Amino acid sequence: MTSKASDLGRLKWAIGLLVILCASGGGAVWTTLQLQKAGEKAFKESTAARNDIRTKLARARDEQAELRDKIGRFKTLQERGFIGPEQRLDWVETMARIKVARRIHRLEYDFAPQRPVDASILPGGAAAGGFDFMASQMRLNVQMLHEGELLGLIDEIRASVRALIQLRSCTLERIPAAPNDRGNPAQLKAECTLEWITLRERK
Amino acid sequence: MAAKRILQADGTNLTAHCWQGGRIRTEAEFSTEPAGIEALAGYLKKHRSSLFYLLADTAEEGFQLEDLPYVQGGDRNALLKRRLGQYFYNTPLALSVSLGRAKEGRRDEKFLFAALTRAEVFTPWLDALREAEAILAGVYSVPLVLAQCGPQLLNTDDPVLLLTLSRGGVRQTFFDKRKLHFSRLSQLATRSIDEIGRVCANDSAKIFQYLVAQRQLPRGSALRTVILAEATQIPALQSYCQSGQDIHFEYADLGAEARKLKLKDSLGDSNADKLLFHCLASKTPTDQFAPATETRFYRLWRIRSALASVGWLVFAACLLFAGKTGLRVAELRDQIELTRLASAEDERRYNAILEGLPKINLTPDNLRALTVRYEALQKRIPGMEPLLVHLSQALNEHPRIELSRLAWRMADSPDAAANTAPGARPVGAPGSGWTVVEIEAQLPLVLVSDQRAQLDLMDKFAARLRAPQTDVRILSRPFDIESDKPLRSTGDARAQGADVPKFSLRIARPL
Repeated sequence: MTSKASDLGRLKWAIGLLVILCASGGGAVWTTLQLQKAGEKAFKESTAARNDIRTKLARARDEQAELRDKIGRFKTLQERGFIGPEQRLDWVETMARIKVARRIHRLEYDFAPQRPVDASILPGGAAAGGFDFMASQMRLNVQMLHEGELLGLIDEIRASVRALIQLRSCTLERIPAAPNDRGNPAQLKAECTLEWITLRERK
Repeated sequence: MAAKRILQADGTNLTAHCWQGGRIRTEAEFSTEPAGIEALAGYLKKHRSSLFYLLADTAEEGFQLEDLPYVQGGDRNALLKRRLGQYFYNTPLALSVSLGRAKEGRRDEKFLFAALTRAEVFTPWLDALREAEAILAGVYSVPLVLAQCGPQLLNTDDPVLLLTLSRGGVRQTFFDKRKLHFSRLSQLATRSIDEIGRVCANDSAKIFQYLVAQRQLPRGSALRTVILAEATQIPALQSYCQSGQDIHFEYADLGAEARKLKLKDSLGDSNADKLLFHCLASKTPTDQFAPATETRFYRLWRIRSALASVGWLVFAACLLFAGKTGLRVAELRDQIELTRLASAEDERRYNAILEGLPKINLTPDNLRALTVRYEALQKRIPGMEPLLVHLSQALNEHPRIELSRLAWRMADSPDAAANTAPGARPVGAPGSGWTVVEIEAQLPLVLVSDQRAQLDLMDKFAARLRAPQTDVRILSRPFDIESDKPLRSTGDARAQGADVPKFSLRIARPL
């Protein structure tokens, strides 16, 4: 037993060398395998990127026309003022001007705070390629002679303000004849909900 | 590779020789005096990593041939050990060598039992080796070395006697079928060529008679005797050793045979010691005399060598594999670089094409996404006019119906409630939606007592509103005629001042 233990002690350096050599060799194999794995991953990524850019390049001629068209539409949006912060002061002034110009007897409204558009306004939410669609809800109460005035009013709002107008609802009712209010010629009252939509660049 | 050192032991002294790549260098000589043993200990300590081969060149050797029944395993070991004890009871330096089985009869196995009979001659050397923990590969004798390389020199299966000259004297070794049968050493007094020639001739004759007496040589046949000697000394030997009826002398050139066995040193005379050392170091016999206790450090050395060899082998294999993988990695890197360069070139060309477009602060992908979303939004900005015009046309055709209330709204489905909060409404598929108008209307008072006419007028109005893209649903009627609702008589309604008949319906059209 002692002889065997002693013999084992005499073999410790050889066993140590064996362990070191096996560990070094194993380490070298493991390291190169990791490098190979990383290399293969990088190669796949670079190949995918290469295929992507090749596809883009192949479509570039068609895309050029498509992008030119889309850029034109984007610039139109910019020119109409749909992109950027809300111009609420302009909106108020525009509403006042329209009321006077159209001789609307009674026109009242209120705006809710701005919020990102939800799925009821646009399925899929507010995100739009680096921009967010933002909406301010307006509740409009108006009295008029006939329904044509309401349609004209909404059309004029759409044409005048720097926002995209989505009409959500409109309720029209006859105004019962009031003997004490002879100065008001209005026959109809309307209560409408409109979304004033603008684009805000995402930061 | 460890250096190999041969310790040649004659009866009195021990001479150390170093073998290296076919060259032999004598390094030291030790006596059995305490000073000699001490010098040997120092020498062993100095060369503790060398392999030592103790070569006995003494006359005190015993050889016994015996046919034994063929047994295997533990019985065989016990039998051989018992026989060795019987033949050489006073020495641990003994061995048995199988010479093969007979081809007839019981097919017994022939054994050669050999021993160094004066073990006490070697005891001081073995003690010194053990104390110095020297790596002793084994204890060999000249006949064992000749048994390893002799058949190659003699090149025959017939009985042959080989005569060699060593430090101890003239050795006569008998081989049959290339196997060692016995050996004998005749010591020399002057080592002159005359004495050598006389000893060769006389001892050959004695051995011939012995072999015939032992029936190892067929009666009447001549003994082929080969003398290994330096070429220049052969003529002198020939004058003493002349072939006759019983003995046929042949001569082998020691220098030529040494070169054949790849000994690089030149031999000055007929002394074959260097050739024996070379054979021992380069073609070490498998059989040796030392018991296992004396070769303990050799076994440890072999285990260490095996472990180191395995380690280096594994390391080399791993490096080879790693090298192969490394080449693959380098190849991959080259391919990635090439792909990147090609992608960069395509990117440059693509960007050059895009450069021709009007400048905006937006990537093409974002521009596409924005446009798609904007178009989707525009599809969900309907006007009230289409449904109102449709309704107006129907009212013009039915002037007796008077509209009292109208509610227009956008909805995800025709049945969606009008007052549902926007965020809580059920979401339809992208781009889907409806424009819905709910109206409340009244019929002429004259029809108040004619329910059939009321329903007829309302149904005609609803039918007029229906169109392929327009869904019309009656929400309430002037009165209920369904079976699951109560029905009451109206009497003379007009005379009783009843209300005008009213109904409501819903018109819906997809966006």
